[in-house]
Amino acid sequence: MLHLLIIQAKFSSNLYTEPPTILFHGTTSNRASKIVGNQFYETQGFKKAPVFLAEDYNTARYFAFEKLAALVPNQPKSLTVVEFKIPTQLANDLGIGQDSRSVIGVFEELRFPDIPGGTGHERILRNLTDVQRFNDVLKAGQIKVRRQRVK
Amino acid sequence: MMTKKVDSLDKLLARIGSRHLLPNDKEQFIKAGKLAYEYLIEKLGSTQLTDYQVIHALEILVSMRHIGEASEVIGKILDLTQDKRIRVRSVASNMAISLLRQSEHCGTLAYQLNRKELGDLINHALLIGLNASSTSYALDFINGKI
Repeated sequence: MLHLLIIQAKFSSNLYTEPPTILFHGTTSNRASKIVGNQFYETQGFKKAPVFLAEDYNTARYFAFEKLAALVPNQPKSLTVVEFKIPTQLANDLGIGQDSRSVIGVFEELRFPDIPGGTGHERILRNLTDVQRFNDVLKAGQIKVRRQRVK
Repeated sequence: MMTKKVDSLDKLLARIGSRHLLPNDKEQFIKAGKLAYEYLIEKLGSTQLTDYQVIHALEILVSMRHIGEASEVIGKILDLTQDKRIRVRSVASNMAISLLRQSEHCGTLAYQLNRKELGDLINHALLIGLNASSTSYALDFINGKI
């Protein structure tokens, strides 16, 4: 009976836990190390606003390559996509929740092609206050990160 | 009105002649939209731009390429891989390789970029000389490492 109650409690707690918001950011590997930290760097977060976050890996990878074409003459050696797992309530508070989606490029007044496998939407940390809040919770470990090197 | 806008683009163009492209200058070109795109495309054909102006104009045009015709920008980049100025040639070669890699990895349109023809251009650019970092990137491309 007790066992059943424990299972029920676990089940109901899962039921009421919202799935996290998962967003991606494609950049150079060096910059990714600074954003999320590694054995050489402390977590520093993003430096300036706006910060563009993709809803899917493919879009983030596309923009990592866009960086590769633009960062001349200091060509980066490798690219990385960082995955951020953000508690949904926190994402909403930061203005990067489901309700804050925007079509890619509209904010910057740029056009981009359809990216296969992409949703066509992005989330944006629009001002420095939100970027700073994002960085603080990132440093506090409330946002889980995973890095994937782009081959 | 149009003359005023072109005057302000002339001023912006003068500003991008320094070694580093300031994000604000790039944003201002982007905000000017199609007019800035056409202006930069036209200016790239002129021989009066400095190396840095050409390089930065290319960088801005790469970001703006879908505002106009992406194939037009890529055509300019391919032409500049054979430019007589080593700095311009090196940057254009890097860009061309990176854009091809982007299309290969992401499944987006490659326009006139393909490994065979770009390989020929890069081989020729290597023969006439590229700077050190571009040489290493170009060799990795030619040898199929990237």
